[in-house]
Amino acid sequence: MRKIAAIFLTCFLSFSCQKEFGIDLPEHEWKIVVEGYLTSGDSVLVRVNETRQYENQFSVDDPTRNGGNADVIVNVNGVDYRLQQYSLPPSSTLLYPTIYSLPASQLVVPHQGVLSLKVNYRGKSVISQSTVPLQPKIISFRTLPNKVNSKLFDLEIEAAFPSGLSYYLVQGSTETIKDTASIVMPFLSDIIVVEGNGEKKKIVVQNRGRGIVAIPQSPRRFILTLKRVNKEFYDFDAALRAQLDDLYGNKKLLGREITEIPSNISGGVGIFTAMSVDTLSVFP
Amino acid sequence: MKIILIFGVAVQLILSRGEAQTGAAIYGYVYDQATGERLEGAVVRCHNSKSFALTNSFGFYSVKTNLNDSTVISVKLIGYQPFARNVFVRDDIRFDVALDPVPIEVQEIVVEGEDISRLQSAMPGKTILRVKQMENIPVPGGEVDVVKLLQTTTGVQTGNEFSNGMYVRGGSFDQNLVLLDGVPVYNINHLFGYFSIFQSEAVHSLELLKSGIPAGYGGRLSSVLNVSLKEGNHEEFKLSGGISLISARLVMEGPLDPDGKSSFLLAARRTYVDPILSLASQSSNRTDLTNLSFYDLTLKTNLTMNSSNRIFFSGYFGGDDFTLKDISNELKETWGNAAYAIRLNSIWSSSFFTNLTFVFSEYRNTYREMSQQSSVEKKPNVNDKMVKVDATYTLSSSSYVSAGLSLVDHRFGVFSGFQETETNQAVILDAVETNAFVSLDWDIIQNIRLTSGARFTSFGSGNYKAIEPRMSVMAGLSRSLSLRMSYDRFYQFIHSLSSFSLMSPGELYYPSTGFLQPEIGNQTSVGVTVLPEDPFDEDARLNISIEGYYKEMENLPQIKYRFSSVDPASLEKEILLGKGRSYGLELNLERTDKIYHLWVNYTWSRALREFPEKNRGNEFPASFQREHNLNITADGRGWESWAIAATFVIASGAPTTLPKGRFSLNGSFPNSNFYGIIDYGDLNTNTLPVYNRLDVGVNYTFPWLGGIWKLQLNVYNVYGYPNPLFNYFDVQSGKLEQVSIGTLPTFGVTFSF
Repeated sequence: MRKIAAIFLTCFLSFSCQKEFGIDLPEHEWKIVVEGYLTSGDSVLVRVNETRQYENQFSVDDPTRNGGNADVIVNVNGVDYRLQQYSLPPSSTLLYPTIYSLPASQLVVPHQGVLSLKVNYRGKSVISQSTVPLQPKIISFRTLPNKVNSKLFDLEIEAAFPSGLSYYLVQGSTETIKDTASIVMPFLSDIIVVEGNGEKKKIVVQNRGRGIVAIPQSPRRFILTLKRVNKEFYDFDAALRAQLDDLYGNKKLLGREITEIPSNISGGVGIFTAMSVDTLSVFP
Repeated sequence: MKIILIFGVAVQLILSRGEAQTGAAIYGYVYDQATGERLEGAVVRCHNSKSFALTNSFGFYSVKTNLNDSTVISVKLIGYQPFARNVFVRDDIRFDVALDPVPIEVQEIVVEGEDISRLQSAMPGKTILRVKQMENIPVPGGEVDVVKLLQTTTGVQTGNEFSNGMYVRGGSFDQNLVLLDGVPVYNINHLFGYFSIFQSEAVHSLELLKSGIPAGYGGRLSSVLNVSLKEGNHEEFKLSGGISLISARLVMEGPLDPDGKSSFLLAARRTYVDPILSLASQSSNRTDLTNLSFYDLTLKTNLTMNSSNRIFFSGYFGGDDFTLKDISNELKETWGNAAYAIRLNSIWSSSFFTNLTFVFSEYRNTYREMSQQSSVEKKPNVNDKMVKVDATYTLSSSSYVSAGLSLVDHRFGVFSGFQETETNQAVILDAVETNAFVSLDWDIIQNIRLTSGARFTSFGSGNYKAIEPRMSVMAGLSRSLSLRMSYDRFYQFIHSLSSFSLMSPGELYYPSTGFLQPEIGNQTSVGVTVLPEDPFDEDARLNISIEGYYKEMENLPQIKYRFSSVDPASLEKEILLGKGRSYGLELNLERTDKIYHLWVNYTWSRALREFPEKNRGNEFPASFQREHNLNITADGRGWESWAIAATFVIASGAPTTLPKGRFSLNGSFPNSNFYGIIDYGDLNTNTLPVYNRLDVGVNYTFPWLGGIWKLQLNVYNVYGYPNPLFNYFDVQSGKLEQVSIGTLPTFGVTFSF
């Protein structure tokens, strides 16, 4: 549609003119940026960063401007844990943004409960909170041929889905006989939304061709990972995809409303969200 | 049962004030002497009973008077010579009145005693435009566009430059009920809003209702736009038409029988942009645009079957065709409306008038995108079949009641936006809508008229029930001053879902179902109309009206990000429901003398939105809000062959959202191709520069080849102010870019035989 509008406007209104608008960007609202995708059973990892004035350049040479030296505290079911800043070689883009974590021996994401976050950075604090969703339970799954690409497979999953809407990330993998050490990842789905009624239900998840697409000729087993995520993550992810399409798609934002990124970081931007996971393997 | 009977008799006695025993009725049609067309809005006054009535949309009136008495019947309508006749009333009298039209150059002089008509026509919350009186006003494109004329009136915001978008009193564009001869029309745009679908030569008048909306109308939250087609000349065959920058049009009308009992009107219009574009593409070896065109076909016929029954057929069929093609891809989109109605007007008695209507309306859209890799085709559409009957019963010289029933069978074909997935299969949603309304117009005491009513709706797909009370009180405080207050409640069961801020053919119409609740609106308004003496010219006519309003809306839908599923069960993840609030003050000043006609329309308004998941739940101004909006239009017609008209518009800049900063996620480092994610902060806190432009139109009329010809030269935006057609933020330059149109001269020719 935007393509239509764009071409229409440029061709039909050939007497129109395009000009740079004489309006200054508003003053920069400095905010702390936080990313924390916490999967039950895994270690806690949080990235800290900050927003920049649009006209300013990003730089990896100033760690104090890339989320460094922040005080990051995660509260797990009532107990505070101060995360440690990762040390990586200087001038590495891996420093951007700064990563805060603790060894798994000290802290892992629980399978249930509430996680809270407090970040102090450059004199400002932000807080957030996320509840670990109930763990999904895969009953069975099977692969289906993908209708678009014969080298891909879709997944039919049977699971007990809770009543109402629930949100999932689906990862399908294969393990080969010849090279049991390597696992290829045929696809990772977008976040899918399932309306359940508390009973078991079958859903089909389409493979959009992301990741490594070729199915090994002799798969030893298929592995399904089903991550249940919160609505806050779904909204964040959907908005992010839409905004990236707005900004970096091959069409300009003619006539379309801008896409704001929702955030559960109070006083900042980003996402702090917990996920629960279930995995099942099938041997063909 | 007895209680109901007693109550009914008591109400009848109160409303009739005991006059039923000795009363009689004078009733009939008021029509144009020259063309035979029935005239709406004429004031018919019965002098001995001091009662009056306005002719309805079919030109019918009924006034009560005293039996065995003589009385003067007078009929007045702006643009026509007043009519008066003395009659002796022995029984009910059928009295059809033919009014002589006044030539346009002298028709705006003050006519003694037309205060009621003027007070009615200048009523706050109601705008009536007669195309004949507006045909000199400059609009881009070289032909009169009735919707663009409406955009110069108070309370109507346009959205974008050139667009035919109508945002009435803070409502979105899908909240306007557009009726073409009573048939609902869903998309009124050609060429993405450059033209409306209404061919001006075929249109008799437009009526825009913004408040005090009668209970007979419903289904939209913000306004009713009644577009009345001409009936066709009953007296003689006429041919008219015109050629503009982009299109050519032709209108034929005339009687179908020697007695003038039937007539027809046939209007056709088509663009000729497509061959020009094709030639341009060939000459420049461009293959990226192959077709862009639209067409309209309008037909109306009527037949007077006998003195009591008339039958009408109205039909409209039109559409747009857009094709974009290059070596490997083809993108084609067609869209359009079909609207047909058969109506039967019946006079059952001196007091009882009915209108039975059968309607078919369709909005169709086909979007096809073909490439070497894939082929996507979507056909969102909406299809209505409706039967309705409405009736008017004159109870007394001071009251009449209107009531009606309608049954609508809606069918929606919905599709999932513009993403190619296997789930993009057609989802057909059916909904049966049943409406009933009753409305009472009652002169409580002299000069105070109460219009109260209610509308009852049952909407099938969600099994919704709604009651919409409506009430307005108009008090004539003097012969030149009236006050009106109104309260309206509305429900809207059909929603346009689009992620675009402008009207687009790709919009998806969706019925209320499941998560998508009916939209609800409540509006209160107070207005004053004054007809002061002109201090400079005693022959001039001056109307001033001021109206303030406050409106609240609930369950306003908005697509969250991208529409990926149309399954009603999944709408919760696709749609946000929010609230809206708007308020404002509208000032209209209209001055007419023998030389020029001046309209000054000023609107101060706020249009606000609130969604739980947008702007952190805080209220924000809508993108189409223009806090201040001033339109001044002057139409000079004091010369024999020449007419000059000008429109000046100045309005506050639209609210917009600009980046407050940028950041990156997922460890991705901004580089020359990736500028990060944008933090927009609060929505619509920035304001674009003030919008302003001056349009001038010069018309030269001359006889030639036995007809009347008119040359029209319009210059849009004379001083070339760069008003934005579109704005967009360029992520690479970090600048707000805009596409604007500078000065645009257009030329047109019209003829009439």
